[in-house]
Amino acid sequence: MMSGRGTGVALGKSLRLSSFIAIEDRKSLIVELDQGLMQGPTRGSLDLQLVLASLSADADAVVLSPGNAGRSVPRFMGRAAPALIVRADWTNAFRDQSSVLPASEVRHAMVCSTEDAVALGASAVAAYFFIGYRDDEDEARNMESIALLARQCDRLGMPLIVESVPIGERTAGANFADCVDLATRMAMEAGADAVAAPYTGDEKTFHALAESVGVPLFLLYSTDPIVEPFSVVRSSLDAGASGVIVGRSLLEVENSSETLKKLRHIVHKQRRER
Amino acid sequence: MSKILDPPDGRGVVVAADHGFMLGSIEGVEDLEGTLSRVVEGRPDAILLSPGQAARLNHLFRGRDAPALLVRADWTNAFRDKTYTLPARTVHRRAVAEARDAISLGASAIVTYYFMGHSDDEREAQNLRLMASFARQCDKMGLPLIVEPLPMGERVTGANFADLATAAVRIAAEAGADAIKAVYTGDVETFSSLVKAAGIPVLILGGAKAKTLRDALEIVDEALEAGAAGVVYGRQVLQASDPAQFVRSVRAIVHEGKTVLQVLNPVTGPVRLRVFPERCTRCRVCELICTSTHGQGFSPAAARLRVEFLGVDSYKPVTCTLCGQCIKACPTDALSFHPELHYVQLNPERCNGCMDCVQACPVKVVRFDEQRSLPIICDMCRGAPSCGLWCQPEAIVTERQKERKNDAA
Repeated sequence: MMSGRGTGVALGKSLRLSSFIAIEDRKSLIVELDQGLMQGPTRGSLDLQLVLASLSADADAVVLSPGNAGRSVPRFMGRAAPALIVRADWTNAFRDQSSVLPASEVRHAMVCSTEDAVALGASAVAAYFFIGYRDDEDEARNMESIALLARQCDRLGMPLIVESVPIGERTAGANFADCVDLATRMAMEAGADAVAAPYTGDEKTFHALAESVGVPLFLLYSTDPIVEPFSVVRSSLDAGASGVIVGRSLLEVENSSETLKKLRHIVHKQRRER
Repeated sequence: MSKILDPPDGRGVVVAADHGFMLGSIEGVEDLEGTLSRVVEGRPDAILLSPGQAARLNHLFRGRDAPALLVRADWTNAFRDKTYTLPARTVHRRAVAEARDAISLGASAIVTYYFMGHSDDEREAQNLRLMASFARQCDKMGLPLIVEPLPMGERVTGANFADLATAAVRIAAEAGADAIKAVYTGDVETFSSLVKAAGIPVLILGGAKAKTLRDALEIVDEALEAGAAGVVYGRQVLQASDPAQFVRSVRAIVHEGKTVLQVLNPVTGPVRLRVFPERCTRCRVCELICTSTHGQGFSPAAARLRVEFLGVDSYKPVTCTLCGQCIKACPTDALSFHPELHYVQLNPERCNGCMDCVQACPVKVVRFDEQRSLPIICDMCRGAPSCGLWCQPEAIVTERQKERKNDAA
């Protein structure tokens, strides 16, 4: 999983990663419940504590904003509970036309430091890295933010997951798969311990990505509601993904807890008793 | 710094492998661990990696014989031109690590860029501020800082490139850099000025410009002559079919004082010369290179082979055939076959100047140096004959000696 990193700090990272990437199959199913920070209340997550209660049993880890992480501590206590991943950044990238205040320019900001995440009992920190901003300076700033976050994480032995996403018109064409490769690669080189990326479109390119990026690669399922037969999930796992991160796409489905159980079965290939 | 620039000669061979950080997974860096494992076998003095890779591939740097680790402390989109995914529209550069991060990774130095040539003076000031802050951190932590000054921006032209490069180098040195990575200016004169202006060690960038190994080595050779302290290779090594061999070849030039020809044509065993007269054009380069290789300037009259004129368009190179008659004829045992490489060698102390060897040679390629009173004998250039290397039409070709036949018959 993490070959040959130095002593001390690397042990901390390995330990924390192993709390949600299963040792047996090296796979993980991660649920994002941090939408509120970026989009306001969304259908399906109005009462966060209720949603947490219904989904915790089948998630290996849950991503929460710093504010809600503090309020949800009881949900993460005990051996059977999922691991806590804290969202360290904010963006308006998901506020599309259906939002009450659609974003005119994509913006990104840091909202939480690694020390804060440690104090919250987190097992990892998550942040976005976008490429395709209209102004290249925004890409440079985003890179700077995740790199400095990575340095903090190195010092504290905290794993960093970077969700590397091509956005905007510049990346929407035939170059999408290459853009995913560029974004994930830069994130890994900056110091991410794991990366998440949208599906490149076909198994071949996703497989190439999984091979070359060198750290665990999660499928970031963040577009349409996630429904059977879950072909994209299956394809990406076959292509070498270490698991799936799913958020809004799960919450918009009628029976999200049933869906999550089915996803768990696919990711871990068997029902795991907790 | 002494782990990178080896004290005996103050020179270093460095491999840069941080391209993935700035360009994505280009050819040569997809399986970086695999490629670098092969590179390490060639014993480079140091390898440059991004912070993420420096942590992941830390195990490659363990042990006394391992290369030193250099960490790239800044990121830029400056190299993402139109040939790459998502070309950059405006150039940006950001710090991504501090000196203390590099130290905790066990690095021996950090490497950063310094861009000069933006039309916006505020950007230039920012660039300088960033470099200065790295220099101060490095001073505090006792970590060497290697700066890569590059003319970059709207104000850079073909005409001002060399001067801008030199100015940027000097500014970097004054700001606190301990060594410089610079593009080779292309000629010895301007590069010598750049090295002088720097006042600190300057390594040249190998770059993607050299098409063949020979070109790459010749650039290094020339840069060293102009005062460079070594070379940093990137894609040239990572994309080579045998990265370890490439590094070894560069080491031979930088650390072992070999010439390019010596490196490209290593002595591998006893050789002989084979002649194809029908290919000869009588250009006589073989005669010129023979005396030049032996330090006699260009003097065909003193060459150890000759080209005979047989008729119009008909020529024949005449070379030593290793027959050994000269050895037999020598009364003082001044001549003998080299025990391993089986060429004729002269022991000058035993020579009495009798010229019996000159008489004995059936093809008359043994000449006599009147001044030193010694015969001029073909020694197969000690295993890598220059005439064979330089003959373009391949009228003279170097061959392995098959068995140690007794040619004296």
